[in-house]
Amino acid sequence: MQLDIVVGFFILGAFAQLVRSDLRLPAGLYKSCVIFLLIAIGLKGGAALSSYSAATLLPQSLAVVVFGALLPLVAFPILYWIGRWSRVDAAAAAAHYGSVSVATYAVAVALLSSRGIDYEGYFPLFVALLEVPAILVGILLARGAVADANWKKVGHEIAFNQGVLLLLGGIAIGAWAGERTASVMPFFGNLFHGVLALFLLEMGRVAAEKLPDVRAQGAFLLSFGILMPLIGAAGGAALAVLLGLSPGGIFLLAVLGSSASYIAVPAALAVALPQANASVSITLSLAITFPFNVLVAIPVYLALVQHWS
Amino acid sequence: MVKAQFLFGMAVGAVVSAMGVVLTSSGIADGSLAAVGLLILLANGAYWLAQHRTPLAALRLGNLRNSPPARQQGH
Repeated sequence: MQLDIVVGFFILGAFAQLVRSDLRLPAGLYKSCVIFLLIAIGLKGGAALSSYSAATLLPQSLAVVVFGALLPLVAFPILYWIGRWSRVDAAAAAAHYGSVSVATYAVAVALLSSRGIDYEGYFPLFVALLEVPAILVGILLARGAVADANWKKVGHEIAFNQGVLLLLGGIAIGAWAGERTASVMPFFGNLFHGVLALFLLEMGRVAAEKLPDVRAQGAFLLSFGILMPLIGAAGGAALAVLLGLSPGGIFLLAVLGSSASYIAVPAALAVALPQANASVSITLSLAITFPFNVLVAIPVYLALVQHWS
Repeated sequence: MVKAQFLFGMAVGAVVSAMGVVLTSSGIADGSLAAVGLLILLANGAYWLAQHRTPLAALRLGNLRNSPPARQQGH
């Protein structure tokens, strides 16, 4: 079981923060990396989309949306009843776990491509679809604890946030252009691993920066932040098997179930649930679940999938 | 940290450790998952002990203050 080379940059970023180095990616470059990754993933998925029929995609997409809506319903009772969190904080954190992390997905895709393992090319569509239902479920779970959400603003944030817009935009352009995407692929395809490495360097630093918050929040945060990805991965893998996906697809859906959002969901919930403690949810997903997925879980999932297939 | 959180943490740690040990012993994965499980167990144990050490120390101090010699000295 080997870690992918890009994970080395994540560890380097974390190390730099722990030894208090002045290493820091300029904010503009970090944002550029995010935009690049979203477009690259979307384009690749869009170009592959044309070879699949709607009859295949529609039921699978519906199943994935239901899966995304169910995950917060698993996370919420744990946080509310065992963690003794307030209803609104538990609902907000649960929404993070129903949604997905594009960075985690990118690491998984990089690992698959470095091993030469094939997967269903339309997976970026699932990534975009999984961003939405958990946010809605999270808001509904918090109902009663908060005043009615401004659904117009929330709807706008969900539909047009940077992540969803660029992913869906990339998929649409890729599907429309088909083979013509080859002209931009020297940039979006060949540089993917390099840009992901830069992005992970900063992510490692940010995750390590949040470690004191983890310590302050207590051991429950650590327990939940490790358990929930494992539950999500088991659910994702089971669903992928039911849908008849390839081993690469089973691995990717497990990774999507395992990941937790820290960009799209916090932005949407800042509008919908401003009372929620955003810091604790972001600490949970960014400082515990993301490093756990990248360093430990993803290699384990791949080893399991390869073992069983 | 309340008792339910502690028990939950210990259960999660035990399950993750067990999964890690099974995967390691069957040669599927390395020991990283088992190590994470152990870390959860240790973290929960450490938090529980740290939280309950302070009241115990205070209780002991209270007992000392209420002991006959302490009371005789007017403490």
